[in-house]
Amino acid sequence: MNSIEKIIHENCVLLNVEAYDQHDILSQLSDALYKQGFVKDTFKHAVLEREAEFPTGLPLVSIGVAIPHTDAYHVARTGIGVAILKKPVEFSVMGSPDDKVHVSIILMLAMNDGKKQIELLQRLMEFFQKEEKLLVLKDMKNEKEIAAYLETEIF
Amino acid sequence: MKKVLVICGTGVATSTMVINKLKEFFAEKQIDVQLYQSKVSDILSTGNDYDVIISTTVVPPSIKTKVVNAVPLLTGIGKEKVFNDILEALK
Repeated sequence: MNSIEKIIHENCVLLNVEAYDQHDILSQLSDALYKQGFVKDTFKHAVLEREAEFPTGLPLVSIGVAIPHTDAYHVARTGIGVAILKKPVEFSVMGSPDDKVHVSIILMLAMNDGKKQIELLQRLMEFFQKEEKLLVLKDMKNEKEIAAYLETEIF
Repeated sequence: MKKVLVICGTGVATSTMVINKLKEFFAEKQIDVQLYQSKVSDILSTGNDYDVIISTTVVPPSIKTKVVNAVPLLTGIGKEKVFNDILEALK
């Protein structure tokens, strides 16, 4: 994949980031994706609403992750925003909104429609299921390294 | 042929992850089913027309079709039970 088509931009990787709560971190990630031209200005509001209605927290064995996303209408081009949180924030669990999970890694998906997304989503799901690969992210030292690692592992 | 509906909040992201997993599963088990994909808000009038609904989100109580929670297929934790529940619902 050449640099123009990159899905993860280092400026959309928030490493060791501090956030008060879910709203705060979703706003920070949306703003980063907007600045890099991945999403429209309507995305932030849409993703916040969507997360409140259809939560995306996923409790894995040793870590909580979340994959916030919203309708393709709000997306300019496919990208993923990544946050590695200094301290976990609480999300509701996908499919069981009364359950809560402390989330340390967030992958915010800006998804266009199209066949390419299906493959991407499939690989993303396989990536979650290899938890040791996900945990490596927490020990990475800089944004560039994280972006390169995810591009290699997922795409 | 049995009709299986896969749904999520958007009808795009997590249902796509799940539907691909299910295609593999049904092919492996050599079970012929018709798979449909939708979002939860679109199934209020049609949700009772399926044999089982596989969902990553909460399904409204007005839907009487058996619902299986598909989130374990995303995390990989407890996915065997999900597959068993699906087979049970299709009997």
